[in-house]
Amino acid sequence: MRLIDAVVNRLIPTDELGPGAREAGVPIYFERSFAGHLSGERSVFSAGLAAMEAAARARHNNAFAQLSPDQQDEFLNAMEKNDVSDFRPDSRTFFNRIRQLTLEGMFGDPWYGGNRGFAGWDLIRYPGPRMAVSAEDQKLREPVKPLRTSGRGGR
Amino acid sequence: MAIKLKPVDVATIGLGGAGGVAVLPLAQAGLKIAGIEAGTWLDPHSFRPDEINNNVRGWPDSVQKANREVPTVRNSLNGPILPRPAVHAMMNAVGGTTLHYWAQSWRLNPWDFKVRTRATERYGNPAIPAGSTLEDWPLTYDELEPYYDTVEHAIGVSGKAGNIQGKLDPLGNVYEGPRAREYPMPALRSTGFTELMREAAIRLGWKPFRPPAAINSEEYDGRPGCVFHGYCNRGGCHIQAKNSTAVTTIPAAIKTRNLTVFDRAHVTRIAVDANGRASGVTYLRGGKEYFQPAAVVLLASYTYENTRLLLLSKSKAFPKGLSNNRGQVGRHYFGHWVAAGNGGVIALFPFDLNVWYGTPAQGMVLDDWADDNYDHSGLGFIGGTNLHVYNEMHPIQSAGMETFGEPAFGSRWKSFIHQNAARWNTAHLQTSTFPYENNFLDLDDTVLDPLGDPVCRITSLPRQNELRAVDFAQRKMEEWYRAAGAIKVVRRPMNPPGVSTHAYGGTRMGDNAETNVVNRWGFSHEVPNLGILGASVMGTSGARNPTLTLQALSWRTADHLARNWKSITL
Repeated sequence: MRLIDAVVNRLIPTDELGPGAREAGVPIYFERSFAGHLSGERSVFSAGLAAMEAAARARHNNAFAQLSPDQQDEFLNAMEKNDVSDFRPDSRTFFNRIRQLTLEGMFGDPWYGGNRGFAGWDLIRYPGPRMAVSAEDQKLREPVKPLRTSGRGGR
Repeated sequence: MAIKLKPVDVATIGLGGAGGVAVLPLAQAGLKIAGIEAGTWLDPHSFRPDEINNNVRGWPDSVQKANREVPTVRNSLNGPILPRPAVHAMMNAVGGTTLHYWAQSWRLNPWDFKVRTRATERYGNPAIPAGSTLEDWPLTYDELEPYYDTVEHAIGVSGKAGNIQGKLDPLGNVYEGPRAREYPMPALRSTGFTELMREAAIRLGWKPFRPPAAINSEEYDGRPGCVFHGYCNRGGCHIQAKNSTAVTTIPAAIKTRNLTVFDRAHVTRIAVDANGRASGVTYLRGGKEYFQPAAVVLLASYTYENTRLLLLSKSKAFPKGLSNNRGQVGRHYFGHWVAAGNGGVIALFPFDLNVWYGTPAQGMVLDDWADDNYDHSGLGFIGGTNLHVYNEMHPIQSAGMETFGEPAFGSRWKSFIHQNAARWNTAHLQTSTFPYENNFLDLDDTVLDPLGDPVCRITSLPRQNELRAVDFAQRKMEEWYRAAGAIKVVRRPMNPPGVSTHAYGGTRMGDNAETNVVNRWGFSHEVPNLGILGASVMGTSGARNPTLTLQALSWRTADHLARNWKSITL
């Protein structure tokens, strides 16, 4: 899980705009998903992580988590551009998958383990699920008051 | 050996958008119906505003039959099978996909029923797309109008009429065919964003209007009006304001005591007797095999499963699959060309649109570039596109937005989505789609479902007519967005449709038994007591959602059966 921690921390870093994916619990979303709904994908995903670690060692003689932030970003950029070999089917596919799961954890309901403290919803200014919505809440330009509640009843 | 059940008058396979409507006129006529459904009843209290459950994972707590039978897709005749989506677009439940659909309830326009004749009249024979197997429908818009009207009132549709008995009203769709009367409910309310788009369209000289929806805009039939909570797209309605067949026609049919629902029943074959007539349905339920004898069988699963079940149901009388002695099952298939999201037009505005809430049917649409509502001379295609902008945006979807050249991760991306996640939009562009030689469904012997039966295989090739029509529509959409103040617009190329929520054909309706599976009433040319319901009977798509049309056709087939019971069952 150290690798996932390190990757999501670069995809959505903590900065002046608020907590990043690691602080918001996104690694927990990965863990729970692969223990449950995505268990059928676990071996394919693990192979992708192993390919990533091997490529990081080949390039930098070090684990991805040990690289500097700039090196990590450069590596992720190369994956996105499909410039890293030895992935199946290719590095861009794996990059897109890990990015998509990071988005799911960060911006999905906190019930699933990520989006802790509604960090993801605050980041994109999503005002949160509500059971009824008035015409006032559907106006142009005017911010809607954030509710900060889970759609599944938790907080 | 299968457990043999007591015979019924009618066995319907599937209680979704099509079968769920057909059971009502049958039950009202006093026929005893076994409603055989793979899914089960779902509790509205379990319908949550939860993007991961609804959109990302596709309702994992529902019966997963469709997800275990996802069709394979190829985009060329001898080409490879493409990666399959993890989640099937359609679901198994009482009410089927009408539980979580967009509920857009359109009538086709009159042109869609007679495309071959009308296009040839206006542009000459070369206008008909090369290689297409296009035929006129065996019925006209006017013949279907009473059934549209009946279904609109039976389930409840909100909207604004644009043509009542020839009298046009610019607040509605002036291009629609004449209707007998106004919609049963007014259109869903407009929003800041849809008003912005309406005003821009009017400045362009176009004719925008609010689209029809099987969603209550006010109390209807004892159920409340929509509260616009924003989890309607692939979400069930927690207050039953979405008029799924699960809360409208199916409960009404059960009240007559003539419909018995068999849920969690997985149909494996349709049986025939020695005379080649349908004799009943074999299904699995709770690990046991049952045989439900029936005087009439109505096949009403989704388009892919309609074709697959026929092809799997082989017999002495039908060695190539039921109702397939002329080789027409699976033919004339087409997935709707719908440009949206990453295959559509994406716009960025310099201010917040606030489209988080509401429902996709709460939109602004126009038909100025649909069907044959404009002169196509020199354009190189026939047909057109309904342009549709709408409300409802979920947070994961929103954060996954097009980055317009900005990086896709890191602090710069964070800053970009912080500013823009509430400021982007993508339209839903539905284009007229036609059937072709070499676009078809068959069985894929290399991919089996858990019972060992092959899944359906889609062969869907690029088509010049549709590609040109989509490109034309995308340019019009860009014009509309820019007129409304968008600062950036991208047009993404569209690939041939794969596993689609708008899948047509495979059991096409037509008078000619050599080129069609069912007759003008929806009954098989080869098996007179087998009716087929759904968009699988439609020979053209129009530029709009299929549900209301297939529901009107289903009601019509059921009504025809009840009126002609003796001749059909003799």
